[in-house]
Amino acid sequence: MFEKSLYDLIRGLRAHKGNEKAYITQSLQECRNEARSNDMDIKCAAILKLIYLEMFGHSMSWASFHVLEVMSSQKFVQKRVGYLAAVQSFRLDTDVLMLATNLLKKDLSSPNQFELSLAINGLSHIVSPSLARDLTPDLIAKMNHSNPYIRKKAVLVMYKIFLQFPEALRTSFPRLRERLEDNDETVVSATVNVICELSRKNPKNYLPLAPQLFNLLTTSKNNWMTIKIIKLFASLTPLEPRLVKKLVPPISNIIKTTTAMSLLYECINGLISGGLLTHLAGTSDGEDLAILCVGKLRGFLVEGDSNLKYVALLALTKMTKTHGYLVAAEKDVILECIDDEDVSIRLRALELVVGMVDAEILQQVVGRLLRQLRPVSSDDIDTSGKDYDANEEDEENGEVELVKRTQGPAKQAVSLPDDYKDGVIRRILEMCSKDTYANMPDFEWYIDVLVQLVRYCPGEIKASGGQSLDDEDFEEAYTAGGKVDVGEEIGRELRNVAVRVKTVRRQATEAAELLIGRSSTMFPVSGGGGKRVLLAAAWIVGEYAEHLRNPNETIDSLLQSSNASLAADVVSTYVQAIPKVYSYLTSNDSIAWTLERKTTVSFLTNRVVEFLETLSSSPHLEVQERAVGFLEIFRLAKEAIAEQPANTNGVPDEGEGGMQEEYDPPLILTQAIPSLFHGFELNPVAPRAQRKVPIPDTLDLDGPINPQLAFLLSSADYDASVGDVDPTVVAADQEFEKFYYQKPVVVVETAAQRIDRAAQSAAGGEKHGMTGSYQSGEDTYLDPDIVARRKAERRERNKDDPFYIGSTGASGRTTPNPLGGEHFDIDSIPIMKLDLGDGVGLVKGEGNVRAPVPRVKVEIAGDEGDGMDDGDDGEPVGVGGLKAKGKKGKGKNILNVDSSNLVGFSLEEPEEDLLAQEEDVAKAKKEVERLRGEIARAAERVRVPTVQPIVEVPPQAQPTEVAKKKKKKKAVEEGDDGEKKKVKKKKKKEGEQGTGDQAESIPVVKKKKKKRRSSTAEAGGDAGEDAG
Amino acid sequence: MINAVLVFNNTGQPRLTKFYSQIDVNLQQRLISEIFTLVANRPASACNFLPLPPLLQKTSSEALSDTDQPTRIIYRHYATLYFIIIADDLESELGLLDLIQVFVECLDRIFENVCELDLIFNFETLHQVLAEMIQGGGVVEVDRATIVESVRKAAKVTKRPQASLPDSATRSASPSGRSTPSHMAHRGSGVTGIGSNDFVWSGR
Repeated sequence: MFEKSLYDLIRGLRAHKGNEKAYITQSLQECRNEARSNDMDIKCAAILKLIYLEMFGHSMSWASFHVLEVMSSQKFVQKRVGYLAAVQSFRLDTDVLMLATNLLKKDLSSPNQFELSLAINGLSHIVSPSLARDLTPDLIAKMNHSNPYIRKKAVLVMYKIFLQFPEALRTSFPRLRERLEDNDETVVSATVNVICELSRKNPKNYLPLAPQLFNLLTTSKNNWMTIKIIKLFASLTPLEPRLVKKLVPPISNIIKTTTAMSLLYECINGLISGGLLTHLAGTSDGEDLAILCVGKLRGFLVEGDSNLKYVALLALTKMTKTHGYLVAAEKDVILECIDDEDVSIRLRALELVVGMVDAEILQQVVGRLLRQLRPVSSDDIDTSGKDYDANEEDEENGEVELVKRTQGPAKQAVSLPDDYKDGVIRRILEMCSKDTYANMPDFEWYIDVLVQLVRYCPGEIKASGGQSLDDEDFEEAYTAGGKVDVGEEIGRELRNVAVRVKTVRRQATEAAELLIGRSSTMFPVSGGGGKRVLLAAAWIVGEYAEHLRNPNETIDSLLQSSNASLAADVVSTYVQAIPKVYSYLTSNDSIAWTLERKTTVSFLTNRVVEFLETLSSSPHLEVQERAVGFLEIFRLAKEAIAEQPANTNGVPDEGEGGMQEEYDPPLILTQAIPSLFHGFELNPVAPRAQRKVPIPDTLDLDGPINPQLAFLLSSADYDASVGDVDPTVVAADQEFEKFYYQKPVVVVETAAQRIDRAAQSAAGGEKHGMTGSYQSGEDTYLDPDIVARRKAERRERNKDDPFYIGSTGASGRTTPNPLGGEHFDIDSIPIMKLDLGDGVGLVKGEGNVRAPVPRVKVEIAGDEGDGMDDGDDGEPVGVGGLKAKGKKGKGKNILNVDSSNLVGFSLEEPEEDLLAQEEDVAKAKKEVERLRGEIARAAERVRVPTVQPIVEVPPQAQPTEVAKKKKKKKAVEEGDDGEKKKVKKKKKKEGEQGTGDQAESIPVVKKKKKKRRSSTAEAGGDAGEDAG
Repeated sequence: MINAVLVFNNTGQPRLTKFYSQIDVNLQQRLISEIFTLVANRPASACNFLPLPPLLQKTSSEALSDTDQPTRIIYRHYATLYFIIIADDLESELGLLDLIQVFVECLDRIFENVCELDLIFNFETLHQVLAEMIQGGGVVEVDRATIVESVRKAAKVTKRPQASLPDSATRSASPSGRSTPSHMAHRGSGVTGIGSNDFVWSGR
């Protein structure tokens, strides 16, 4: 039988391209057999092949015993293969690990330095707590090996030992410290490396080393080590501020003189992360140092090497916290990095810019970012290029340079990944809204940016976020992802601005109007693409309906039947917005209630009812509930409108209406519906404000709001089934009526009986309304085909409208005020050109419309209830989502090193006798067992009056034992958790023993050494307490 | 500490995997493929630092408490091979870049004009070189001459007549041939990139 060598295996693999799987399975099977072979060469070859296959993901854990066999081979070649296999495949729970102790012990005492190094290296991977405990003495000895090749490795492996067996740190620390003085540089370097790792866990222990380390720092020529020393000092300085003064001269000397970029960078990094700069902030030394650092980092940025750029941005980001003004001075080079062709550099720069942005450069930065987001396609580039040239001149004297004209590179930018775009948009929002818009120079500009951003929203990132999902799923998808849709983020900002900044509320509302109006054409049907901005837009449109430019069209858009297919939460906002806009349109009682008006209103009402009816059977509970609620109100309104005769100027009206000359619009329109929405103005409220509201004592959430509800509902059902007025339910009707029409503005007092009938007759009423509208010539409400035509017309008209994107025409066409409101100031409408339609445009402030305004103080409403204990509670509503950067929890991080053992591990324990104790531990265990019986007997005999002779025997062993155990207990308690069980066991024993000898043994021990006595007493005392 | 050293080729085939913390084989493979997707999409001009792949991203609770997590992935691309180092923030990014350079130069000295095939057929030697440089996640040696010498000396102890080194005849006869450039040159800059002696390691 021919065995494959590794070489054959690899060749075979290459020869079997395509069906490697079968070949590998076959090879694995062969390896399995070969590994069992008695011939060590064959076994070894098999293991080697397995290591190779392990690299491709074929676990070889089953072969661990064979690995151990190969490890114990006499031949170095085979041993080496064995160790390699162990390194690659052994885990802490590999069971043969406990068999490896003797093997490792033997190899560690090998005279051959390569075998020795093999064992040390192997141990660094496979060390377990028990291996660490057993092998520590051998390794400590190796730290003094004559050969530096062994010394450096022995020193380095100690860190791995400490991780598993922290006690070793106490025993070996003196040796480790000696290695700092080693005459071989690599050994010193390895020692520094170990101390650096250790120091991060508990820096306090290593403060005494500072003088030695400082000496190394000033004399060392080894850059690698210097870097580590600086990192080490960075962890020490927070504990010992006096170090700062000592360190500054040598470090700044290195910064000035070194040519090694890595060392230079780490020096600067060390100054920052070690808190040296923070500590020195304010002093002239500190200033000089900071200026030196920033200067060097600037050098990195202009160097042209992308790696240096990257790290420089990292360092600058850290520096913004303490020396923001210095960093801001370098904004020219930093801003260049935002347009770097390397996306990771861009992201770093973005992060930095978010931290350092201020009112001056905000617009410039955002302008740059918007340029990046602009989709690139060949024709776009041309037009956009022209666009810029044209605008450049206009802007020469403009107040802000919105878009800094950048050279070639940005233009040929490749299309960016969606998550990058997503990130950029979020960053823009973050930096604009920072500190409740502290840096915002111009809110009108911001609103335009927001609208523009909606255009740039990437498509759905997560496929799961589609609207086809149910409410719950939808919510889940968003909350689970921890990320709010970026469109929704933009919406929140828009809403935030509308609420907080009264001066631009009109503009914000108009922007929302624009979004609502164009929602059907602007957003992809599939969702995503910022469609969720409609959530906030609909709310704004409703809440601030008085600022709408064209409320009629807006309500038209809101009532589009296609809207019903929007995401559930968006639809429910729509449902809420519709009555608000409706109320705004119809509540004005100064408009005469003419027939024309009546038909208009009646037609509108019908449309609303119709729209709501389609939603009243929506599967989404929220939508359905709101729709049904409003539906009832609108049916009432419809009734009232039909009832209320119009003013007749010459038009004869039939019936009782004819008697009166003047008719007011129905009260339900002028008072009832508006009163639903006009309470207090809505102000921003801090997220935690609700907590500050005391819960009233009388609040009873369990009591039914209306105890008769069940009765009312059943009677309503009954009523419905019966139809018109039924004498048997008159009483119930009265209840019903009272329940629904308590409001003082009840107009339609008889409507209760007709509610259901009204629904049935809706069709008829509609017809009537429609014909009315035909006759009246009102062109707002029309048949579908006409609506379509009108839409086209409107689109045509909008071409010239500066608020409609897609126009390239002149700006600033004033439109007639459709509202007739006296507050409407045409001049106050900002004239902006938003070039959105073909994705070419960029936000431009039209310099010729507004004079260059020095930054106007804009009042920004803060959060209400954001008082005394705000701290970080009071974050603005809109920013909240940005801050919660939840990432998918992966449970445990996979490459994590578990160093919890070393955290807070102190060296301060008495160090003498520790070694001896370790060895005693094993013995002690056995002795405990042996003595237990005796102790029990002794304890019994204690009760016998004659004490002295009996206790004669135990004391020799017993007090020593107890002392040992006491020490051991301490040691073990410091150690890993795995030991805890044992400790408990022992405590128990000690308890038994303690109660035994507490009574009598102390006087006996008096004869023995005093030291022992005290420890015994202590132990006895402790144990007694434990037992008690 | 260095958490892992990986070498894989342009198609994501691993050529060397060395994890300094013990993790499951399947996780290793997932990590490799995640890093490969990240690295494969990068333009040549991009910087040599990778964002953390999803597998390594911190959970928000861990982010505060633990400092031992890998925070940086540094890579270099030589001809057909990617060299990756995953490390935590006690290592210097730029230093690790140099370390990769040292590693590659050592391999180059040992194999004389190293190419991917050398690494495939001598992956044991690859491990030895690495072990001379990094032990248990700590850097032991960065001097090229010392590393190469140690590896060569150890090879003599084996008394094996370099059986693992295929002679040139078999090499050229190997199935897919030497389609790769025989000399691995770091893109553009050869071995005098950021890691060249006068640039970073001026101290030595």
